[in-house]
Amino acid sequence: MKSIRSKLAIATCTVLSQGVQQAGATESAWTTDTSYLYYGEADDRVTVHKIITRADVTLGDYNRLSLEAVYDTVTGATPTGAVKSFNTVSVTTPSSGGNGFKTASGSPDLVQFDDTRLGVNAGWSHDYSRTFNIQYGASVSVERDYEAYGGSVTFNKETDDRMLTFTAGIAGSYDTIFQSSGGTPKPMGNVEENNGNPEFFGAGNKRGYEGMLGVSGVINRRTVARINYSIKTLEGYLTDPYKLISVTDANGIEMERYFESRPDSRLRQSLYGILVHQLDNKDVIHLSYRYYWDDWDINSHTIDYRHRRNLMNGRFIEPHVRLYHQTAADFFHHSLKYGEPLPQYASADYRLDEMSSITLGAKYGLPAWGGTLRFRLEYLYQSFAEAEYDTNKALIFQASYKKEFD
Amino acid sequence: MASPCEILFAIDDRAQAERLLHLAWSEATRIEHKFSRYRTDNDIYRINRSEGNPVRVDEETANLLDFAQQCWEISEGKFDITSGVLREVWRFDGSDRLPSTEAVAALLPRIGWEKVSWKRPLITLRPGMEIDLGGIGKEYAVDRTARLIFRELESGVLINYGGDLYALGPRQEGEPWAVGVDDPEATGLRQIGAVNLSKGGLATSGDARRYLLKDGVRYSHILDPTTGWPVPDAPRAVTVIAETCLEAGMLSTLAMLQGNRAREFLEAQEVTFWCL
Amino acid sequence: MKMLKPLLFLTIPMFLQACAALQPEPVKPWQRGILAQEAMQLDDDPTQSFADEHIYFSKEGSTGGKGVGGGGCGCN
Repeated sequence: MKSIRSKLAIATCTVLSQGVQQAGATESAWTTDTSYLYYGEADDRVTVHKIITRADVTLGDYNRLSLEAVYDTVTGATPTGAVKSFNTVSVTTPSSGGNGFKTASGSPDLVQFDDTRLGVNAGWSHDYSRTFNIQYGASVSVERDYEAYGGSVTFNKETDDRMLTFTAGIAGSYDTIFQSSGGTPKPMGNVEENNGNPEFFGAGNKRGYEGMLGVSGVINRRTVARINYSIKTLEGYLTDPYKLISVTDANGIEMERYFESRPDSRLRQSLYGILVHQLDNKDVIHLSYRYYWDDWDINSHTIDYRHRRNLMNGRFIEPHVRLYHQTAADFFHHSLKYGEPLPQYASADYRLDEMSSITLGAKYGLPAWGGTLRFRLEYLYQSFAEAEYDTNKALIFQASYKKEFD
Repeated sequence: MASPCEILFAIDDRAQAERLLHLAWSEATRIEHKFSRYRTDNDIYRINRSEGNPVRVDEETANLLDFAQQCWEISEGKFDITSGVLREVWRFDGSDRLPSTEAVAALLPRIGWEKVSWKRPLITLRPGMEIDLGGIGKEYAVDRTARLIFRELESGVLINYGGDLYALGPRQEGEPWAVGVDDPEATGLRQIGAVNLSKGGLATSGDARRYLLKDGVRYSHILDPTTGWPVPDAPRAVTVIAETCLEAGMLSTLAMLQGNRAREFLEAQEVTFWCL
Repeated sequence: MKMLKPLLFLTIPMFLQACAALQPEPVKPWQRGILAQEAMQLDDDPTQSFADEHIYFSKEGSTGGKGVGGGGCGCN
């Protein structure tokens, strides 16, 4: 008599391979997750409060919808890129803008901010077959001086044994940028020209196109991993309409001040890998690395490590460390030298400087009222090579609550 | 499920055990509601009342129909989920009332998976035909429950739904679970032996509680769909251990369907078994 | 900033630990219990990732890498 064991084993494989997550699901099941985030920088710089709320719904067997809304307020002072200076060359805004961009006269190196933003992301995931799925996404973000719209499509194909998934995604975005009064300054325009009425143009816009290829898979019973390659090209107005760059003399005293100017295109690429593994003691680690490079000459390395330890009664603690280093953009300068011709592109924005940073933090989770409550506290320290403001220290706090409903 | 069901937890955290038990109960109830032929609000009801029209099923039901079809192929037609209509003439109540040859023959045109059009996700039965997933529903529920529990516990749990079992790992200190094998001669009263189960599925097929006895001949409730009559010389009981409860259940059912070749069949499968 | 470079070496023991995890083995569907846990998902806290991506996008010169789309902003 022949053995039918392997045929039977394969047949039971297939029937039991339906996702465990679907167990207990009736017609639809949804999950909500709401959180409050605080981000505060030292020395009275930027403070951000964010409220994020997200809902995910499963509709039948083939569809999942998700909706995420974020409301945030940004207040405080941020460096403009100009050097700290005793010459009070005051910077004016083109017209009274109400909230938005206000400079405290006498300190043009910092600009006061007060802005609110509302953003919404929507996603729809549809299973066209047991192994093929497409996710569609759309996003909108609106604040006083910036509007962004985007859409994306991601294709996912699983192998029959569900060990590997191949992903390909494309996305496009269209952003409109302006100072809160509605215009953008002429790049490399002198702030003081025309007796303090520098030339302004209309709003700028920025188009982005993105592509991604990735593979994710199950390595063994306790390990999954993913690796992605992404490429993004941006065109249009890539300058920051509020940032300035100073021209200084040999002693570092500011002589002139200009609006910054960045190239009108940027090609960004990255390689990202992540490993998720359960250790022998049941702790779960998430380890990821990203290498990024672009044609502004910025290269960066990011390493992120999270280690979750489960405690009694469904609680957990998860310490986290993130290390980051980037090189400077080729048109980044701390300041320009008086007497030298103005370059076509120049920026003193510290975010384009050579920089290393470390984030240290921990998250604590506990079950509450049928869902999970999480608290996270992190400390971010950034150190810049040349920028006028050479460090940034910030505290991050987030409280979230997630709950599933049938 | 129509049989007593229990889950044994050999763990310290009582709250966790209660929570998992509740989860298991929800899943078992869900499966029961979805695949029971006694309910009037599920896919099975719609399929069995479809009067020859195609019915669209969801992913989970489609997977089970695929599985039933594969078992039908593997067993060369002996395992057939359309054979449920035979219960209209066969009542296995321990009495000596056998149906007439004509009554059984009249049902045969309404039986046979080859008469079913199954093109995922649409199933079409000829009028008068019915499908019954009772033969695999319980084992399926055991395996699904095991996977749910396995998200949190790797060992120390034994699921037993009416004699179909799955063990997620041994008890504390690595001790296996001691499972008694029911004696068909004195069912429910005496065990014929015990089995040590550390991990895996265990299922039993047998006629212990359902049979007919006439003129000294015992007729088991395992019916051959091609003849409409019980498989002759079927063993009293077959117990099999396999990696999942579904596999164990199917192997024990297929063994019973082999009649007097059951032992030969089980030996060819290279599984641990008891054949009585 | 130079002092942060040695901290990068702390990650080497983490990588070694990760290498032990990289033994591939086929996984049958009924063995997926551990993988189904929430903590084992590649993105196990989407609200946290969303917030962090936003923070680092506003404070650094690099962006993204994990997926496409997701929305932009003018954060300064």
